[in-house]
Amino acid sequence: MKKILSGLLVGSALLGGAASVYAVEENVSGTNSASITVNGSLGQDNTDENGPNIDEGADDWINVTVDTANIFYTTKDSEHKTITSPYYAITNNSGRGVKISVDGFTVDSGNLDNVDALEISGQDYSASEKSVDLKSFVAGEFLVLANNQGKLNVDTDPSDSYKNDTRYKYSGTTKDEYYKGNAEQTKHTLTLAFEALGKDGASVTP
Amino acid sequence: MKSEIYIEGTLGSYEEPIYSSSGRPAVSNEQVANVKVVVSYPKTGEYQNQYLFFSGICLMILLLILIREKTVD
Repeated sequence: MKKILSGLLVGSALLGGAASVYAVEENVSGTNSASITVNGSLGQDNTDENGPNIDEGADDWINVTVDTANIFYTTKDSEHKTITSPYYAITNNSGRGVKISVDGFTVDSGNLDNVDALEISGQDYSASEKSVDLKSFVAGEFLVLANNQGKLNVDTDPSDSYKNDTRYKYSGTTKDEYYKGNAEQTKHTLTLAFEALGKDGASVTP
Repeated sequence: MKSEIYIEGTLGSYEEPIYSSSGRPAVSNEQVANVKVVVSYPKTGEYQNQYLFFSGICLMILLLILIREKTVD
Protein backbone atom coordinates (compact mmCIF):
# COMPACT_ATOMS: atom_id res chain seq x y z
CA MET A 1 0.00 0.00 0.00
CA LYS A 2 2.80 2.35 1.00
CA LYS A 3 4.64 1.59 -2.22
CA ILE A 4 1.55 2.38 -4.31
CA LEU A 5 1.00 5.70 -2.49
CA SER A 6 4.63 6.81 -2.78
CA GLY A 7 4.63 5.79 -6.44
CA LEU A 8 1.53 7.89 -7.07
CA LEU A 9 3.13 10.85 -5.29
CA VAL A 10 6.37 10.66 -7.28
CA GLY A 11 4.44 10.16 -10.50
CA SER A 12 2.17 13.15 -9.96
CA ALA A 13 5.15 15.34 -9.04
CA LEU A 14 6.98 14.34 -12.21
CA LEU A 15 3.89 14.89 -14.35
CA GLY A 16 3.23 18.33 -12.73
CA GLY A 17 6.83 19.37 -13.29
CA ALA A 18 6.72 18.22 -16.89
CA ALA A 19 3.45 20.11 -17.42
CA SER A 20 4.87 23.33 -15.95
CA VAL A 21 8.02 23.04 -18.06
CA TYR A 22 5.88 22.37 -21.09
CA ALA A 23 3.83 25.52 -20.32
CA VAL A 24 6.90 27.79 -20.61
CA GLU A 25 7.30 27.13 -24.31
CA GLU A 26 4.64 26.31 -26.82
CA ASN A 27 5.23 25.44 -30.41
CA VAL A 28 2.62 27.32 -32.44
CA SER A 29 2.17 25.38 -35.62
CA GLY A 30 -0.91 24.92 -37.79
CA THR A 31 -3.00 27.29 -35.68
CA ASN A 32 -3.61 31.03 -35.76
CA SER A 33 -3.74 31.75 -31.99
CA ALA A 34 -1.75 31.14 -28.81
CA SER A 35 -2.29 31.91 -25.11
CA ILE A 36 0.36 33.66 -23.05
CA THR A 37 0.26 33.82 -19.26
CA VAL A 38 1.23 37.29 -18.03
CA ASN A 39 2.17 38.12 -14.43
CA GLY A 40 1.70 41.84 -13.71
CA SER A 41 3.32 43.92 -10.95
CA LEU A 42 1.21 46.98 -10.35
CA GLY A 43 2.05 49.66 -7.83
CA GLN A 44 4.92 49.51 -5.37
CA ASP A 45 5.34 48.17 -1.86
CA ASN A 46 8.42 49.60 -0.19
CA THR A 47 8.04 47.28 2.80
CA ASP A 48 8.71 44.21 0.63
CA GLU A 49 12.46 43.73 0.26
CA ASN A 50 11.87 41.84 -2.99
CA GLY A 51 9.28 44.32 -4.21
CA PRO A 52 9.66 45.24 -7.86
CA ASN A 53 9.11 48.64 -9.51
CA ILE A 54 11.32 50.69 -7.18
CA ASP A 55 14.78 51.73 -8.32
CA GLU A 56 17.64 51.03 -5.93
CA GLY A 57 18.43 54.13 -3.87
CA ALA A 58 15.17 55.86 -4.81
CA ASP A 59 13.33 57.94 -2.21
CA ASP A 60 10.35 55.68 -2.80
CA TRP A 61 12.09 53.12 -0.60
CA ILE A 62 12.03 55.46 2.40
CA ASN A 63 9.47 54.47 5.02
CA VAL A 64 10.56 55.65 8.46
CA THR A 65 8.53 56.42 11.58
CA VAL A 66 9.95 59.22 13.72
CA ASP A 67 8.64 61.40 16.55
CA THR A 68 8.36 64.93 15.24
CA ALA A 69 7.96 66.80 18.55
CA ASN A 70 10.78 66.45 21.06
CA ILE A 71 11.78 68.20 24.25
CA PHE A 72 14.93 68.58 26.34
CA TYR A 73 15.33 70.13 29.77
CA THR A 74 17.74 70.72 32.62
CA THR A 75 17.42 68.56 35.71
CA LYS A 76 16.70 69.88 39.18
CA ASP A 77 18.99 67.26 40.74
CA SER A 78 21.99 68.67 38.87
CA GLU A 79 20.97 72.24 39.81
CA HIS A 80 20.14 72.74 36.13
CA LYS A 81 23.69 71.92 34.96
CA THR A 82 22.74 68.75 33.09
CA ILE A 83 20.53 68.67 30.01
CA THR A 84 18.56 65.52 29.33
CA SER A 85 15.41 64.39 27.52
CA PRO A 86 13.04 61.48 27.19
CA TYR A 87 13.98 58.74 24.71
CA TYR A 88 12.40 59.03 21.28
CA ALA A 89 12.03 56.28 18.68
CA ILE A 90 12.98 55.95 15.02
CA THR A 91 11.77 52.85 13.16
CA ASN A 92 12.69 51.86 9.62
CA ASN A 93 9.68 50.16 8.01
CA SER A 94 11.30 49.92 4.59
CA GLY A 95 12.50 46.87 2.70
CA ARG A 96 15.89 48.60 2.42
CA GLY A 97 18.34 49.89 5.00
CA VAL A 98 18.28 53.62 5.59
CA LYS A 99 20.97 56.17 6.43
CA ILE A 100 19.79 59.03 8.64
CA SER A 101 21.79 62.25 8.69
CA VAL A 102 21.30 65.47 10.62
CA ASP A 103 20.95 68.05 7.90
CA GLY A 104 20.11 71.14 9.92
CA PHE A 105 19.63 72.49 13.42
CA THR A 106 18.23 75.95 14.00
CA VAL A 107 17.45 78.00 17.08
CA ASP A 108 13.99 79.39 16.31
CA SER A 109 13.52 81.23 19.61
CA GLY A 110 15.68 81.79 22.68
CA ASN A 111 19.40 81.06 22.56
CA LEU A 112 21.96 78.52 23.58
CA ASP A 113 24.55 81.08 24.74
CA ASN A 114 24.66 79.58 28.22
CA VAL A 115 24.74 76.00 27.02
CA ASP A 116 28.19 74.39 26.96
CA ALA A 117 27.25 71.21 25.12
CA LEU A 118 24.19 69.78 23.43
CA GLU A 119 24.09 66.60 21.40
CA ILE A 120 21.69 64.07 20.00
CA SER A 121 22.70 60.43 20.44
CA GLY A 122 21.40 56.96 19.72
CA GLN A 123 22.42 53.45 18.77
CA ASP A 124 22.65 52.43 15.13
CA TYR A 125 21.97 49.07 13.45
CA SER A 126 24.92 47.38 15.16
CA ALA A 127 24.12 48.85 18.61
CA SER A 128 27.13 51.18 18.48
CA GLU A 129 26.61 54.61 19.98
CA LYS A 130 26.41 57.52 17.53
CA SER A 131 25.99 61.20 18.23
CA VAL A 132 25.89 64.57 16.52
CA ASP A 133 27.01 67.78 18.23
CA LEU A 134 24.16 70.28 18.07
CA LYS A 135 25.95 73.13 19.90
CA SER A 136 28.70 73.62 17.33
CA PHE A 137 26.55 72.08 14.66
CA VAL A 138 28.06 70.47 11.59
CA ALA A 139 25.72 68.49 9.33
CA GLY A 140 26.63 64.82 9.08
CA GLU A 141 25.66 61.18 9.32
CA PHE A 142 23.78 60.18 12.45
CA LEU A 143 22.53 56.61 12.19
CA VAL A 144 22.13 53.67 9.82
CA LEU A 145 19.21 51.30 10.39
CA ALA A 146 18.64 47.87 8.86
CA ASN A 147 15.52 47.06 6.84
CA ASN A 148 12.27 45.80 8.36
CA GLN A 149 13.63 42.23 8.30
CA GLY A 150 16.75 43.22 10.24
CA LYS A 151 19.01 42.99 7.18
CA LEU A 152 21.43 45.46 5.64
CA ASN A 153 22.43 43.27 2.73
CA VAL A 154 19.09 41.90 1.59
CA ASP A 155 20.66 38.97 -0.30
CA THR A 156 23.22 37.72 2.20
CA ASP A 157 22.26 38.83 5.73
CA PRO A 158 20.05 36.46 7.74
CA SER A 159 16.84 37.95 9.14
CA ASP A 160 17.15 39.90 12.42
CA SER A 161 20.92 40.31 12.04
CA TYR A 162 20.66 44.01 12.83
CA LYS A 163 18.31 46.56 14.37
CA ASN A 164 15.73 48.38 12.29
CA ASP A 165 14.70 50.67 15.15
CA THR A 166 16.47 52.73 17.75
CA ARG A 167 15.92 55.23 20.53
CA TYR A 168 17.65 58.58 20.68
CA LYS A 169 17.85 61.36 23.21
CA TYR A 170 19.34 64.80 23.80
CA SER A 171 22.01 65.47 26.41
CA GLY A 172 24.41 68.22 27.36
CA THR A 173 25.56 70.65 30.01
CA THR A 174 24.95 74.31 30.81
CA LYS A 175 27.46 77.01 31.68
CA ASP A 176 28.57 77.53 35.28
CA GLU A 177 25.57 78.10 37.51
CA TYR A 178 23.67 80.37 35.14
CA TYR A 179 20.46 78.36 35.05
CA LYS A 180 20.41 77.91 38.83
CA GLY A 181 18.89 81.37 38.99
CA ASN A 182 17.57 81.84 35.46
CA ALA A 183 14.98 80.12 33.36
CA GLU A 184 14.62 80.13 29.60
CA GLN A 185 12.67 78.25 27.02
CA THR A 186 14.02 77.64 23.54
CA LYS A 187 12.57 76.34 20.31
CA HIS A 188 14.49 74.52 17.60
CA THR A 189 14.02 72.74 14.32
CA LEU A 190 16.10 69.64 13.64
CA THR A 191 16.12 68.51 10.03
CA LEU A 192 16.82 64.84 9.37
CA ALA A 193 17.77 63.61 5.90
CA PHE A 194 16.98 60.03 4.90
CA GLU A 195 18.84 58.03 2.26
CA ALA A 196 17.66 54.61 1.11
CA LEU A 197 20.56 52.18 0.90
CA GLY A 198 20.92 49.72 -1.95
CA LYS A 199 20.11 46.01 -1.85
CA ASP A 200 23.70 45.33 -0.74
CA GLY A 201 23.44 47.76 2.20
CA ALA A 202 25.72 50.35 0.63
CA SER A 203 24.92 53.82 -0.61
CA VAL A 204 23.70 53.90 -4.19
CA THR A 205 25.73 56.21 -6.37
CA PRO A 206 23.50 58.19 -8.73
CA MET B 1 14.14 62.95 1.61
CA LYS B 2 13.96 65.22 4.66
CA SER B 3 11.85 65.47 7.78
CA GLU B 4 11.74 68.16 10.45
CA ILE B 5 11.59 67.59 14.18
CA TYR B 6 10.41 70.44 16.39
CA ILE B 7 12.22 70.63 19.69
CA GLU B 8 11.39 72.64 22.80
CA GLY B 9 14.11 73.23 25.37
CA THR B 10 13.42 74.05 29.01
CA LEU B 11 16.55 75.45 30.61
CA GLY B 12 16.79 76.62 34.19
CA SER B 13 14.48 76.80 37.15
CA TYR B 14 11.25 75.80 35.50
CA GLU B 15 9.77 72.59 36.84
CA GLU B 16 11.13 69.56 35.04
CA PRO B 17 8.65 68.40 32.41
CA ILE B 18 6.92 65.16 33.34
CA TYR B 19 6.60 62.81 30.41
CA SER B 20 4.85 59.55 29.82
CA SER B 21 6.56 56.39 28.54
CA SER B 22 5.63 57.37 24.99
CA GLY B 23 8.02 60.29 25.35
CA ARG B 24 5.46 63.04 25.13
CA PRO B 25 4.93 65.59 27.90
CA ALA B 26 2.08 64.63 30.18
CA VAL B 27 -0.89 66.86 30.90
CA SER B 28 0.03 69.40 33.54
CA ASN B 29 -2.68 68.37 35.98
CA GLU B 30 -1.12 64.92 36.18
CA GLN B 31 2.15 66.31 37.41
CA VAL B 32 3.26 65.12 40.80
CA ALA B 33 6.84 66.20 41.00
CA ASN B 34 9.37 67.03 43.66
CA VAL B 35 7.07 66.01 46.50
CA LYS B 36 8.81 64.33 49.41
CA VAL B 37 6.71 62.80 52.21
CA VAL B 38 8.62 62.65 55.47
CA VAL B 39 7.33 60.70 58.49
CA SER B 40 9.15 61.30 61.79
CA TYR B 41 8.58 61.00 65.54
CA PRO B 42 9.44 63.57 68.24
CA LYS B 43 12.96 63.14 69.49
CA THR B 44 14.02 63.38 73.14
CA GLY B 45 14.23 66.97 74.35
CA GLU B 46 12.71 68.45 71.22
CA TYR B 47 9.31 70.06 70.91
CA GLN B 48 7.87 68.34 73.98
CA ASN B 49 6.87 71.45 75.95
CA GLN B 50 3.24 71.24 74.91
CA TYR B 51 2.98 67.59 76.05
CA LEU B 52 4.59 68.41 79.43
CA PHE B 53 2.25 71.38 79.90
CA PHE B 54 -0.84 69.34 79.06
CA SER B 55 0.10 66.41 81.31
CA GLY B 56 0.86 68.88 84.16
CA ILE B 57 -2.60 70.39 83.93
CA CYS B 58 -4.17 66.91 83.88
CA LEU B 59 -2.21 65.96 87.04
CA MET B 60 -3.29 69.15 88.83
CA ILE B 61 -6.96 68.54 87.95
CA LEU B 62 -6.67 64.95 89.22
CA LEU B 63 -5.07 66.11 92.48
CA LEU B 64 -7.77 68.78 92.97
CA ILE B 65 -10.52 66.18 92.46
CA LEU B 66 -8.86 63.81 94.98
CA ILE B 67 -8.39 66.56 97.60
CA ARG B 68 -11.98 67.69 97.15
CA GLU B 69 -13.29 64.13 97.58
CA LYS B 70 -11.19 63.74 100.79
CA THR B 71 -12.52 66.98 102.29
CA VAL B 72 -16.11 65.94 101.49
CA ASP B 73 -15.57 62.64 103.35
